[in-house]
Amino acid sequence: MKKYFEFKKGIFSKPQYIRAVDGVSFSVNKGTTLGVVGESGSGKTTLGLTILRLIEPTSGIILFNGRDIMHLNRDELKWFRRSTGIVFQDPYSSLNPRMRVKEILERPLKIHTDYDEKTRSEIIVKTLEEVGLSEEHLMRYPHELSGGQQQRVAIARAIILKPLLVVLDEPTSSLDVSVQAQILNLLLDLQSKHELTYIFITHDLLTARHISDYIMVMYAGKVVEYSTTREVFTNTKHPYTLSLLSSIPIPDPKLKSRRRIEITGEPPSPLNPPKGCRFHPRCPYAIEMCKLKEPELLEYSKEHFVACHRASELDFTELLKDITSFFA
Amino acid sequence: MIRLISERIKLLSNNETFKLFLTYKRGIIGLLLLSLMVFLALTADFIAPKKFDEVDPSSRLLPPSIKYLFGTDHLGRDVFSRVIYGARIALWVGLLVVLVEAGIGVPLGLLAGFYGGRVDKFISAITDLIWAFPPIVLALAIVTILGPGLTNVVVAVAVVSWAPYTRVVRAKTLSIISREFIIAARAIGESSFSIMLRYILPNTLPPIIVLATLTIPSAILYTTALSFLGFGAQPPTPDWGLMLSEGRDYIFKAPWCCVFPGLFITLTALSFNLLGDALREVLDPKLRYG
Repeated sequence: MKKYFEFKKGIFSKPQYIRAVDGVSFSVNKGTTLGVVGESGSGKTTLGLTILRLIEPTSGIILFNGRDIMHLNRDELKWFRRSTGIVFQDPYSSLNPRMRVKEILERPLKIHTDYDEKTRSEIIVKTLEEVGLSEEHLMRYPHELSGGQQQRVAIARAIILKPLLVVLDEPTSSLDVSVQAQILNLLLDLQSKHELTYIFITHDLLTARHISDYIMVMYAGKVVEYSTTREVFTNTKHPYTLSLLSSIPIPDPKLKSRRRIEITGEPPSPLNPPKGCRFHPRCPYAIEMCKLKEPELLEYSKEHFVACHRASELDFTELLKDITSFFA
Repeated sequence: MIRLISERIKLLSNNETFKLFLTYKRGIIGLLLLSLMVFLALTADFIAPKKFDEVDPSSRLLPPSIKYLFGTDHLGRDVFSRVIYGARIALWVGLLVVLVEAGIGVPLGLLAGFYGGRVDKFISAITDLIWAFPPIVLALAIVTILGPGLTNVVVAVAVVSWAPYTRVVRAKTLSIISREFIIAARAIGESSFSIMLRYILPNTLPPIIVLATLTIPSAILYTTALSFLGFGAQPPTPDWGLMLSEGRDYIFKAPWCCVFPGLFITLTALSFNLLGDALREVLDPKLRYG
């Protein structure tokens, strides 16, 4: 059994055509994690919200279990909401400040099931324990919990109905480093326990590497590279991915002179993306063709898609040596 | 002063709203004054030495004395008893007006903020229209149509003054609706109605409470004004506005007929204003220590 999402769309919102996500296409298999990596403004959050139909795409189709989610009737939409969940970056703002934890977790059950009061509280307590909280947190308000605990409640809300797909929008970015690791491991545990499918949105390649089976790198609303996590880390093909990789600090004192690929400038405005390759004004490897023609996302090798004119001629093995040897 | 502010910040961060409120002197004064009015209104039957409509022709227009604390009016009725019974009417009317106002204004504000677009334009246009009228003139017009009486006055005053509720709730809804817990609510399949009721409305309550305490005094003032003009309560109701109106003819001979009801109108309005001012600072974080 495979679950299949396909995605092809561009968001053109009036009046100025902000191309938040433009012509992105991918699929996620059941029980796996797709990491979506990109800097702020690259369209990754928009992508996540669109997949769950929380905002409407301008065009394109999204298939969930073989069904196009843009054309669901009332019951099907309810089923879709039941089968998906979302966790946001800021846990405090994602929980209703006027609801106690119990009520926050009870709402999905009340909407989608007809369990009685007793069954509901059993499920709530069980889910709370699964995310590392306990009965004592039931009657608390969100502001009475720590950031990590709030995020656990948000995760509990997303998984309480055993969904098929969970979109994780930077779920660890606003937490302390020690808590980040706990939350990541919790997410991995839950995934193997319930066979969850994750779309993990992050700006941090290392976090993505920790949790993802596949990684998709986005730049200015476009996918620049997409492959298995291993391929992206060891056989990087796109200069933008390379620059992200070389910005990862390597905790090795023996490593004295490390060659970094530094890019300058700001990411382009989505209102007015540069002609040709959107990365060319910042790309150290840009040639004349990059300014003229936008590269397509092509399958460079099996399961490895790159959108770069020079993908086949550039070889970053030497540059990546430090990092690949460190993560090997 | 600095110690007071740091104390307030501490209470604020601990979410001890009640203790925070206790650090506002004017709030406490307002609350005490209001409690006194509520106490008088509730226990009027026991405190008042006379019945409010007990006429005694032999003791007309007597000045305040031990027997008649606030004196007597032109029919020999005890002004003190009438003022106490009047508190009952004033508070009840104020409360009723605010409930009707909120009942009209809050749902409209929620709808306007939630749906935006045409719904918002339509509702905002009506709100502005109502706001543009001089309230007392519009209220007079409505009472003229409905006929005199306290209930009609309540309706009239509420109909002319719900606009602030719509504005406040609309603005608050707009600020809440972009927060992530609303998107999260959609993601778990909440209906629009449920989102408005369970997610937005509870978060708009603090400004609504503040607004209510600030509009009760004007509601009381408007209703007493309408009673003073003869459109509201009819004799022998011990309405403060009506008492002012009746005492007007004797204002030089027996000023106590007007002074005491007037004083109580002022005190009641003042108590709500003081309380509302303090509540606004306690409940609205934007104004806190700003």
